[in-house]
Amino acid sequence: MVIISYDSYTQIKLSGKVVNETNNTPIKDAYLFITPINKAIKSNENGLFKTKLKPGDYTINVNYLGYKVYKKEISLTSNKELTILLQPKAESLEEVVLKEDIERLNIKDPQMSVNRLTAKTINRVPVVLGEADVIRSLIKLPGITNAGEGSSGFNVRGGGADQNLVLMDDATIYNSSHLFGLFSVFNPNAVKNLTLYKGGIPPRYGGRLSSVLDVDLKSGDLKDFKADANIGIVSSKLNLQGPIKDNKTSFYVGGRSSYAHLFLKLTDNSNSAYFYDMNLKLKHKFNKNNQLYFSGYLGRDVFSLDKSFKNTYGNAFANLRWKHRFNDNMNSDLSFTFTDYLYRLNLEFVGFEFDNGIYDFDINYDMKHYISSNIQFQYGLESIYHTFNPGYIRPTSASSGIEEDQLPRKYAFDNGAYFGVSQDITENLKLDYGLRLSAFYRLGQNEIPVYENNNPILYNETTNKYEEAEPIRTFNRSNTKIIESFYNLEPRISTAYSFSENSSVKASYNRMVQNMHLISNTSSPTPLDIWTPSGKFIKPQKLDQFAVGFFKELNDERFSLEIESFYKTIDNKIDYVDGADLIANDDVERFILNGEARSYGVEFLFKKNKGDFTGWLAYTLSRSEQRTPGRTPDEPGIADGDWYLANYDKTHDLSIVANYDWNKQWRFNASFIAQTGLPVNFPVGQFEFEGLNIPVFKGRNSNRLPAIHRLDISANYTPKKQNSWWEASWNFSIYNVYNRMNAAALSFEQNRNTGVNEAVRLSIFGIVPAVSYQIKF
Amino acid sequence: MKNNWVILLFLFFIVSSCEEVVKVDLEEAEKRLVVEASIKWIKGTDGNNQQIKLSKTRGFYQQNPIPVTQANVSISTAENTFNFVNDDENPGTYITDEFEPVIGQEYELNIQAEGENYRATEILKPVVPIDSITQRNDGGFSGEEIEIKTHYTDPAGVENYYLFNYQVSFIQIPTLEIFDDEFNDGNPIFSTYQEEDLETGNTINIQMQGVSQQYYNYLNLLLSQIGDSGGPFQTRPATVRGNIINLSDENNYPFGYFSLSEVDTLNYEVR
Repeated sequence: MVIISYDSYTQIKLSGKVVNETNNTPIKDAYLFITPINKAIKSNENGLFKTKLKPGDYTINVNYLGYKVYKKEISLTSNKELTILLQPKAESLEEVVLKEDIERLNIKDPQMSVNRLTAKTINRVPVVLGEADVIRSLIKLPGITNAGEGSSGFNVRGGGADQNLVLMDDATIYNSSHLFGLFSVFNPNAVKNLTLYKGGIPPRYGGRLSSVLDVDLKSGDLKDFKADANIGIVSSKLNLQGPIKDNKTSFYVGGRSSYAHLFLKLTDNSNSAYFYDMNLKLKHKFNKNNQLYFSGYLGRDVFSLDKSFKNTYGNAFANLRWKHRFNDNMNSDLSFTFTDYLYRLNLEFVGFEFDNGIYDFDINYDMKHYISSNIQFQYGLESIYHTFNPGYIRPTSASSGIEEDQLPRKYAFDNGAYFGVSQDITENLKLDYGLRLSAFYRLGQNEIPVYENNNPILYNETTNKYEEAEPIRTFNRSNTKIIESFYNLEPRISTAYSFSENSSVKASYNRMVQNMHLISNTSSPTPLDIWTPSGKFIKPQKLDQFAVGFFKELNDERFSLEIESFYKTIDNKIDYVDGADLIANDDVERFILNGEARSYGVEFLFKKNKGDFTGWLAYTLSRSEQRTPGRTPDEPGIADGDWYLANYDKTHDLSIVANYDWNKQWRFNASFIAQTGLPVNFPVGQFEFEGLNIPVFKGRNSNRLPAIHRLDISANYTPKKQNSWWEASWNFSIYNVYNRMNAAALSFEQNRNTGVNEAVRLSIFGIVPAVSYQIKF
Repeated sequence: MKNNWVILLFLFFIVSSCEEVVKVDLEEAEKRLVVEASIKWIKGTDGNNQQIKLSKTRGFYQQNPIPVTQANVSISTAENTFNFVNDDENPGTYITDEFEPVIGQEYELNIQAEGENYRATEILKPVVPIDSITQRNDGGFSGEEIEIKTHYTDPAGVENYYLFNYQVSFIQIPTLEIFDDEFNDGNPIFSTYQEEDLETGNTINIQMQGVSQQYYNYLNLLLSQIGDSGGPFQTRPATVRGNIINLSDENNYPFGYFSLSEVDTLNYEVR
């Protein structure tokens, strides 16, 4: 007699696929909610799901945006395969391509320190002049800030703006702002989704220390033509998308331009400041296993003062990507990208034009490999060939006294290979771990300097100042030869332990290495700043970040709470000796010293996710500091070798964002921020020289600008009566409602009329009302 | 009416940004000696009359200077020593009428003040003459300002550095500009001066000085300290030290600089 017994620990496998009923395409990231045990599982990239359950009766519920609710009762006695067919809803909501859930906290996912935003949220945070903006929405989240109005870039967890890897469809963006931070280079309507990693950075990313902002652009609706236009006070955008061949090929094209400068022309003022950018993306589906994408972008900022001075800069890229599906368990992604970052200055009244720029050619190969329901591998390679043009100057007229000159181009070859594992150790404990190997090669160039004793910077004991060393000779080496190589291992690990269905603890460690350094003498990047590769005198910067967090969903997912704490330490952080002169000064090694940096803090995010009233409260308490000692005990280094605050340190950073959907016509938004002012130096005395009062300063970053706080509100009105061809809506906004003059800078200067010293506060925006009109076809 | 509404909205935006004088409490660091020893040999004169000013640093808002009067000041070469005497009418200013300027000569400055000894050395730098001044009335950044150019021809094959000083009577402070010849060696070139409130009949006093590379570096640092000390675009302020050393106490260094230059100067009346 054979006795077959089921003990209570037997688990039965339930697996299957979620597909769209009408066209059989798989649906990824669909949540299957299994009652009565209240278990949630997710379908993968190919629509597949797997889980293990005890034998019994269950109901499978799937509620996916754009589809009718699915409910099926099953009785589980042995392993079961199930195909879940979802029926699309007759009317689809806006942003069908996006998942609303993408922003929701994922309790069990070990990925921590990440923020994801949809275009819908970006469009609902009121900003200056009524224009929605990607980066301005991000800085309202914890751990992310910027150096204030009028500054470009952003700072993540006490890191510099050059420590963020900004990617648009895999292309590296070197300057992420237009008009000095007024707008970012991302057209919000063209964004499909964006992810910002502040920590626990997956091994497939490398090259910058503090964060990765990965933006994917829309490739166009495969079935219907759509258009949307937005007309605002300062800029407008127009976006078109649709099929080129139904269900096979689609396109997305978008453009934005500002035109405020045209108003200046009306007043006979021949100055202008404007920007424009254009996106084009094409998608072609060969078959269900192969898709090809082309993405192109061109963005420019132009400032000109009466034709005597014209400054043009911006990014451009072209990317070709092939997505291939080997089988249900293996997907690959191969892309080729060409990037061009240009900065051009034309000074007609002196008679010259100055160019500098970076050109990159990048190959990326990523593989996702599902080994089993518990283990997934990700691995791949990346290679970037960089060409740097540090400066090219030419005269623009015969009477100009300037001579043509080309500073020697630099070349570098940046490579990375990674292997990562996502593993479910148990039902409640998940682990992501991996390793990235980076190999950075600095290649030959002309005029490589040689310094006496390999010291590019000297310390003059008599004047107590650091001075540039003159090279004793220079030599040339072909750019096919490697002159320096840097190999680094970057381990990455993160883990999540969920001790109930809606709370978990996560921890992560990552090591990041940065070989591209932004030479900037200011707190916020300006287009004058120059990127320099690691080399003989500039070593790679290395960072270790530890982060720990507690995550909880409350009240049936109406609220969520995230508390994270981080600690970062950086080696080989370079800083400039006092008084470095950086313009067209290419040999940066002559005025930098090596030091270290650290930042640490606590981030707190409380969100209300559901209901007519939604929003969040974000608070960060942190510190970011640096230390640059002298190379020997006799040298002072910077600030006497003591720790000093980083230029973008902000002790307190509070953001409150609230959205209220009153009815179908009206929607209101408000946002409030309060932050500590940036570190600066106030004068501690003065003396007279050559008829001028010269202020005396001491130390570095020993004072602060006054605290910043501001309230912005906006209202969105969609009229009931709509034209049958399009839907129109109005947006009214007020930036800085109570007109607080926040200090962007404090100058200590001498009044030209009286000769008396005074402190002058510069504020960039007082109260600014704005209106914009939006049309969707 | 519709046009006006549109312009009004835009002007609202540009008028929105502003500068305002504010009160900021400042601390004062310990006082230091300040030495302004700029020896200028004006072309066409004998250069015998020179002055050196000694004072102490003071609080940023304190207007009255603090002169240092009981010091011994002299400049010497291998052969000669020129003593400077405190001018009773201008305490803190030390004068001589016996100085002998020689192009390319190295000079040493010695000061004994408040029980400490100070020294600096520099070379007297020559300067080419001002070739001409041209004026245009549609210059400057707005396209409506009076702009003048001071033309000169840089000597080829030599590293040259220049300091320009422009002074107009209705502005209390001079405009200083410094140049090197990295991109224009040997070529005719110019320095530009524009000022929005310039009118016909105003007189501009222009001085062109030849300076050493060391003085050029000092001035570069010094001039960048003036104006903004805070904000995202500003370079970080530094403690700027000149070329004068305190022999008695290395850490008690003075501010200021000892320089010797040949100078060409002229007064230009705006047409």
